Amino acid sequence: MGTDAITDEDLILRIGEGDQTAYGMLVNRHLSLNLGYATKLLGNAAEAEEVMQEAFIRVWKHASKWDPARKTKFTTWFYRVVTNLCYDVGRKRKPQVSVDVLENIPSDDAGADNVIAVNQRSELIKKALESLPHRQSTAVMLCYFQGLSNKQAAEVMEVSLNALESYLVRGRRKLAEILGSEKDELLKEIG
Amino acid sequence: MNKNKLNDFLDDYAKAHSPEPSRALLDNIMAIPREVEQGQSFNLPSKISEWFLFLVPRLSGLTAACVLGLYLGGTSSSALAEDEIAEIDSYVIEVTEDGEELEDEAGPLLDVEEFIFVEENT
Repeated sequence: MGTDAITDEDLILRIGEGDQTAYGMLVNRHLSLNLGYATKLLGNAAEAEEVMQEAFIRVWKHASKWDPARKTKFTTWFYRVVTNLCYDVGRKRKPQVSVDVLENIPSDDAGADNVIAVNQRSELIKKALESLPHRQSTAVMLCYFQGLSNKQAAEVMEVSLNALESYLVRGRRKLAEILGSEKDELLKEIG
Repeated sequence: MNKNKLNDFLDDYAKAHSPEPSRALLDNIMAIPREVEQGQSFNLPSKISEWFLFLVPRLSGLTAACVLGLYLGGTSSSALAEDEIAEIDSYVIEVTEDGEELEDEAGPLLDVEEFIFVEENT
C-alpha cells in the first residue's frame, strides 16, 4: 500500500500510539501549505514558523485523544489550530508603527521596474489584508490562497456556510476598495 | 478595482508569501516526538449507552476499594474497643513507702478476724 493511500486520519491514530514515522509523514504533507497560510495571515515569516512549531506540538500531544467516531477531517482540525494560534499571536503583538508602502516609490532603473512593481503590489495586498477584520481576511485566505471549498472553510472557521460567504463577499469588496484607492494614490505620486 | 485585477493582485501576494520551510524549522518540528511527552487518552463518552459502559467498571472499582477499606479498618489488631481503652486508662499501680506494690486483685489487705483475736489476747 502506498503512502498516499494512508489517510491523515489513519496517520493521526498511529501517532496517538507513539508512531514517529507516521508523525514524519504528516509533517511532510502539511507543513509547507500551512506555513504559507500562517505567513500570509500574520504577514511575518518568523512568527509563522513559531506558530507551526506550536501547531505540531499540539498534534503530537493530542493525537492520543483523536476520536475517529467524530468523523472530523484532520485538515479541518489542523487549519483551525493554526488559525487560532495566529489569532493569539496577533493579539499579543505590540502596536506597530505602520510602514507606508507609498514611501517606496520605484526607482528610475527600468530593469528593476517589474520586480519593484510586483513587490509593491504584494505590500499593498499585505497592508489591505491586515486592515480587514480577522474573519474576513481568514475567509479570503482559506478560500482563495489555500484553495478550500466554501464548505471546508466554514467548518474551519466554525461558522455557517451563509456566514462564510458573507465574510468572503465583504472581504473581497473591501480589498478591492482599499487597493483601488491605494493604486490611484500611487499613480498620482508617480505620475 | 475589478474582479480580474483583484485576482492578479492576490496571485502576486500568494507567490511572494509562500515560503518553503527552513531546515532549522523542519529539524525542530521533527524533534518534537523526542522532546515532548504525549498526553494520555481520556475520552468522555458522548452517548448514554457509552456512559453506562464507562461508569460501571469505574464505580465497581470504587465500591470494591471502599468495602476493602472498611473491612481492613474494622478488623485490624490495632483497633481497640472503647471498653478496652477505658480499662487501660484506669489501671493504676500503687506503691507503698517501702516500695511494695499494692494490688487490688491480690486479696484482702487485712485479715480482720485474726486482728480481733490478737487484740483480745493482749
